[in-house]
Amino acid sequence: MKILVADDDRVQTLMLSSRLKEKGFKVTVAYDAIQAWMAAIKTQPDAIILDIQMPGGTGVAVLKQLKASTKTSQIPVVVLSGSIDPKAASMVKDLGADEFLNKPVDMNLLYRTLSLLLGISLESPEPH
Amino acid sequence: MNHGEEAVSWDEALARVEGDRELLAEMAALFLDSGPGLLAAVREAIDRQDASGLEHAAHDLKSSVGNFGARKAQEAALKLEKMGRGGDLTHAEEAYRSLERSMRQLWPVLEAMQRSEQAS
Repeated sequence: MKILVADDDRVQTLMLSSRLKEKGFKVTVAYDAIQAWMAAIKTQPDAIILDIQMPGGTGVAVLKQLKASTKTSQIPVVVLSGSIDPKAASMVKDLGADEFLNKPVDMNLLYRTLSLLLGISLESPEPH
Repeated sequence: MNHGEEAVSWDEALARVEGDRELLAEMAALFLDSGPGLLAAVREAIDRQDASGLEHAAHDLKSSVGNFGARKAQEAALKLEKMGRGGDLTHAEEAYRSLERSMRQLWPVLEAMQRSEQAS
């Protein structure tokens, strides 16, 4: 399965991509909003992990665009945020995000979320 | 791993990478490279009295140090992020000094961890 990780924090993306590859995903990484949008169109991932506060157009703009386009609207989006705004979770869900997780990311919670969204078990060595 | 228990929570950092010390060392190397720029962006935002810039710069730094369970640095960055969000930078200088102190404690801890991992 393919997954797109979009986050400008390179430490975070290294951690996420490494752990997700261990779980058998083919991971594409994008470091800003424009890269994220282009990678989503080009790679058609099975799920997108999106930091909502990215430079170059912001993660919110990417989320809106992903959910508005027929090419990407069906792809589950897990939004990550270290926002101090208590309304952030409801705001991104209103925009169509499938799940909202706080940063720093609890990997077990992320695995459970992806398992539910993709209908797989991440306990197995290879999702597909 | 037993470097700088106060600056970093290794239990937390290792749990986050599921015990993968090599990955944690790679993350440390990346942060040792990018972190000074993130801290400089916070400094520059305060110098410009740019509240929005401070909110974003402090948020970025907070996210990165959070990967290492670096609580002191995380809390100091969060304080500055809130100041930026609230638009009141009256005490930003004092909060920055606290952040800078935390970062000065964090750098050598991460460097030592990275060296230790390379040697093993």
